[in-house]
Amino acid sequence: MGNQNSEKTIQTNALPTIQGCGIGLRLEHFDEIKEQKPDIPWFEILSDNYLIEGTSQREYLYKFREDYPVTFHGVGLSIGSTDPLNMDFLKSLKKLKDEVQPAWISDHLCWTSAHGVVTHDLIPLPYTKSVITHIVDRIKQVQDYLGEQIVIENVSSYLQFKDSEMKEWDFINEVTRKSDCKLLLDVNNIYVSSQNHLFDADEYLYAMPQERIAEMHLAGYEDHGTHLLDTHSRPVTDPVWDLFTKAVEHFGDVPVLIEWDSDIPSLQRVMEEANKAKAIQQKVLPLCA
Amino acid sequence: MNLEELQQDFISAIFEKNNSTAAKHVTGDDRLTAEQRLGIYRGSVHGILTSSLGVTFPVTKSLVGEKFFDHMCDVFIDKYPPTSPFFVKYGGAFSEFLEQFEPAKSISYLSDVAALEWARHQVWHEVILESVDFSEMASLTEEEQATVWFELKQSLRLIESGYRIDLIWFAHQDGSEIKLEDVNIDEGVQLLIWKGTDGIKITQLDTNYQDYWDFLTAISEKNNITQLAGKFGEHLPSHLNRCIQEGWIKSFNRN
Repeated sequence: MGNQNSEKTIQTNALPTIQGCGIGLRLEHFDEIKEQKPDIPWFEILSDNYLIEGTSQREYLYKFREDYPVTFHGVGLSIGSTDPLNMDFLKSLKKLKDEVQPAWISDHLCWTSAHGVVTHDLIPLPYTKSVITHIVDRIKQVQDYLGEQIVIENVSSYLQFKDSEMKEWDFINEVTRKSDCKLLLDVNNIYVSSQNHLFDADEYLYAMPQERIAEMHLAGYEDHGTHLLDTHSRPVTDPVWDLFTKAVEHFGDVPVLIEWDSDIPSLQRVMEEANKAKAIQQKVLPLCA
Repeated sequence: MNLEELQQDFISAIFEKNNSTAAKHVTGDDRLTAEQRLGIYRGSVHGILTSSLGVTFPVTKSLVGEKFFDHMCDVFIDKYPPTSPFFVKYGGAFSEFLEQFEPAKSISYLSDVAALEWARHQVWHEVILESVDFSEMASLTEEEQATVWFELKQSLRLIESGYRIDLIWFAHQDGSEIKLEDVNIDEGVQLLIWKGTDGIKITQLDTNYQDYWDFLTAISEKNNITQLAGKFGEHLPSHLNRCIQEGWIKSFNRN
């Protein structure tokens, strides 16, 4: 009597190697990937969308994982929130991690929820010592619970707080060092924020802790005249490709991923962007050797 | 600076259009004031959530047009901000909201169409569970069988409406041969929304499955076999068999 529900066992490479230029797995491309199994070295999955057990998406992911290495990327941790960590969410994430075995789990250096309300957006934090203490404590809690280092991404921002005591890049350095987490360096986000707040993107880039960078992100933004909006709805722009080239020169062979989340084009078009990133790596890396 | 207060002020700016308090925390400049910078976040959050609601409620959106749908969402989002990090759980109150939303009352069936779309959304995201082996019931004594009650699959919803919301929904699907102008929508309908092996199905119960609405409702209310026999008499075995064959019933239990 009762329900039948068993532990999931998937045939995977236990510790997937993440190299080269991957793309974000999106629902729009599920069928094409399933049928054609394109030559893409790895995929980043939006882990928040797969947390509910027994769903069709989760079943798809199990099968997908047999063919490709994956990393997890989420927005739901709300690592900068003053609300208690959502343990239901974390428990679901850990279960998914144990089943799918991603190379790593990433989320954002920001907050997405507070006072019981969830924005599903990436809201920046004031760059202060007390916020560093708060964030470091929470990252450590998450890492302890998951049993591994997590990867934290720098976000785009459209405002700055009066109470900030330091530059964003100093804040990132302190948070990653004190919490001993890894960094997902979003090159597009550096460029977007540099234009919105009129700082030198190169200064930010070169201040990043090389030894902690696990992955880089590339995406497209919208130009709203008064500000750039990080929409992931466009091709990567030339200034971001230029900044990425500098990042490859400076940080070397780091896995890179193309994000495209709205106005999603064909898989082929997204792969073209990944191939462009790959071409830059192939051109630059031998010169760095 | 108190981070907890700052985040509360930010939540107010995003969901209550009250950005004057949050603006005190933010730096403005020649290009954008602090209020305008906060407005970018309100616009971004509302954009993300409106887009999500548009994916969950495509027929509702089509019925009112994009501009009005966006307006409805704007009001809805402020009144019912998300409370779960699980994105798929957002929108459950949309149908109820539309029922009370004065500007949308001219489309009397709009709320019911939204309820149908929410049911489809829920069913799609429900857990896929195999049914138990019902032949095991044969091993129970007659006395034990009398107290057996059944559980419907989680991937199943019952929806009742005073309008042909099923036909309205079908008429909005690509390649549909149903024309809305040919349909008498002012007829009541009882629907079962469920996940079959080949996708989400909308089954009209009040025509092909006479009194199955009452039967499935009784099962969902955990009526045991004795109670079901009292209500459905000689039809009980055939109703039960059909529900099991269709995969609507997940398991059996005893008190």
